Amino acid sequence: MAGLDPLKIGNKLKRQQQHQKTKKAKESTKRDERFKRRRHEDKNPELREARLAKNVPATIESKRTWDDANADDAAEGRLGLSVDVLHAKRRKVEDEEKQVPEEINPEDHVGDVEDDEEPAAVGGLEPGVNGDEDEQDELDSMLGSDDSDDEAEANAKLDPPDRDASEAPSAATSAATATTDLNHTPDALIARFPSLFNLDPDISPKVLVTTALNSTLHWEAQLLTSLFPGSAYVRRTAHFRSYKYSVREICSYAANQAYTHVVILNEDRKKPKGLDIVHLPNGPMFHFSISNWVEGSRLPGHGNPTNHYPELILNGFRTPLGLLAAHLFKSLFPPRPEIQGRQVVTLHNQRDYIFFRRHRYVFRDKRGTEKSIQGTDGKLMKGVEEIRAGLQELGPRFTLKLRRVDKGIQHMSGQEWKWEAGAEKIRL
Amino acid sequence: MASDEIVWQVINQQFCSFKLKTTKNQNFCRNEHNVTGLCNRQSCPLANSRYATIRADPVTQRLYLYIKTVERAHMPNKWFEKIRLSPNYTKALEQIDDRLIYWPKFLIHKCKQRLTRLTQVRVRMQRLQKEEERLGERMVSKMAPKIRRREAAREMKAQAAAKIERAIERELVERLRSGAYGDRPLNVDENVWKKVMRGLERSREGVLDEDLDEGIEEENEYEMEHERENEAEYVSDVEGESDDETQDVEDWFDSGSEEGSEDEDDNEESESGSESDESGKDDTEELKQTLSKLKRKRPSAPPPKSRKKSSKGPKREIEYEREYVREPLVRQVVA
Repeated sequence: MAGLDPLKIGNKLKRQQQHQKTKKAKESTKRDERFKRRRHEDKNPELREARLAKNVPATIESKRTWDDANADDAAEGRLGLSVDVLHAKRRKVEDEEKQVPEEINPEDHVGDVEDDEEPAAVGGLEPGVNGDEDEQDELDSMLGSDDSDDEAEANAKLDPPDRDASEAPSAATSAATATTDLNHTPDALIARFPSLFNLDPDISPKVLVTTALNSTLHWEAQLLTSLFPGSAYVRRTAHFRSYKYSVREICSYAANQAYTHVVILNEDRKKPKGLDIVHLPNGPMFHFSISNWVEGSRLPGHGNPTNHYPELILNGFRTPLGLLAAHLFKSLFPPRPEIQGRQVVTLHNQRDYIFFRRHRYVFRDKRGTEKSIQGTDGKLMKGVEEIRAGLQELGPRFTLKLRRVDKGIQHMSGQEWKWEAGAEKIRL
Repeated sequence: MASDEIVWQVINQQFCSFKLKTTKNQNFCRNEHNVTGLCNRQSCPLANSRYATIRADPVTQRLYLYIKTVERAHMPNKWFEKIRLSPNYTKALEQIDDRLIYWPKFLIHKCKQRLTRLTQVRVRMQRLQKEEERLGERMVSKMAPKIRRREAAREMKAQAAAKIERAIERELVERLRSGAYGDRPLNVDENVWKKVMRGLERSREGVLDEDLDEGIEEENEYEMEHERENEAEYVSDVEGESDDETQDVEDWFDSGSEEGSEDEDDNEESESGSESDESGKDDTEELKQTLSKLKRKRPSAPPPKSRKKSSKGPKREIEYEREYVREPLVRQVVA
């Protein structure tokens, strides 16, 4: 029989059977408990909310350690620091808040409420008002400044203990994938890269796409031209003995021809390996590595892109370096999207991997079998419970990883930031 | 000199560590001081006590003339003397002529040939280096396989954690909800947009309704006024208001000034209400006509507040006053 210790049964067949029995019994008790809890919580939803609030699963994003921003001046200038920009802003505001309560009491609440609402930009309360502002400058359709019920979250470790006073919810997971609010760039960063950050909303970007020398990725480069509106692909010198134009020469030529960016596609054994983006005229050069390049025709259920200007979604760019990259991507696309095209380009940064996707979307009614859309805090979005967005993927999808930022063009001009393999090891 | 012969015989017939035999019966000499590179009686630096070569310094790429003389035959580590040649090719040739004067023609000729070849090599190398610098391309080694595999695994996990399509959907709907696409967005179907608008109003009214509930419980005058303004002004107040109006007026005539303030307020509201009633009535008639044409369903559930109010009178259709300037729903339907 089962005996004392089920693991000590000598007969393998019997041991296996016993194991199956105990496993089944355990799982069934768990299941019963789960269903009991669900029934109980269906009657009292507050219990479920309390339980979920208590049992927040630990994710890699929540365990992220941030560097200390010692002096704000030193911190904001450099790119290497892992500093949550929004968190820094939030702390400043909170420090201001803390100063107010020292004065007369009735003014406390007024001051707190105002300060809380400013950085959090709780657009959910009054969408109408903000919507009017957005109508006026459609540029902001790409900026999630008004859309953020998920904004201004901070890492729980660095937060001061009196957290509950603030209005905005602090869930680190939502911060990781929150839509980047490009308005929150630190001023020092803007000062260092003025051409990248102070974009004229009337200038449409003009992109020159090319490849590395002796490359065979002409089709992929053509795809890139379909991706960036206002772009052209020029082949590199083909003949063995002819003059090979260097990247610097190409950039100077492009700058003279009023191009805004040069995009170079690197190759490894007939596959795209990297993407180098130069911000003209002599701006910073960004080196990305590409992995998992999948062409549109290989995606199941894909669509064919049109040449409407796409909308842009930038998620998860939080540090100064991230904001720099986000602004670069923003500058690559025309500032005013043609929303009747219903195309959206997404660059989603998750754990330093930037996932590039391109979709055609449609707002449709929710089917009976579907769930409603949840916000980043896990709660349903009000007002749009019956709406879902259908997505059809178009065009190439790939993953980028930023490896190097050069101050000028090419390596010789000096590096702003460099990726180091050793830094990815987590040693505690 | 006699020893040269002996040395050559040994090297050639028995063994030389520098000799390299290839197919086609050609012998090469791997000795670094060899002028021609072939294994010959005249070219062998070991078998000739008087010898000369040209060699380039590996670091600075300067060309030197190496001369071996008979006088130093007994000091092997001092066999070759090193003379730096001028970077100018013709001057270097003259220097060779000068240094190797009265030497066998073979050696002079071979040295000059070697000089020519080495200068050509040097020029070519300089040209290549300049080209490399101009192109600015660096040799980037492949990523170590351990790191490559680690990154691939992490990318998969990051993708799973990202839930990209959900995030995209959420962001797009958020933009729609917040009105970033404008008043009449081009990227939304009309029905869907109407749903969104209705949903927003419901959620906004939901907020207001909470306040209103509190107000009624407290029976606060201010709250009642507020509710009347925000809600169903045109239609639902008609019957109730007229009754109230007459009642209030009678009361006012009858009793004193306590209720005067309330009555005045009610009167003001009833006037505005009656005016808007007419416009409201017109609108509802229009709406009914267009609706009958298009055979569309009305919004299903009116908010609970209005139900309470119009419980007395016959069922009315409700129009909502917009807070900001906007074309009324009617016109949108027609268009």
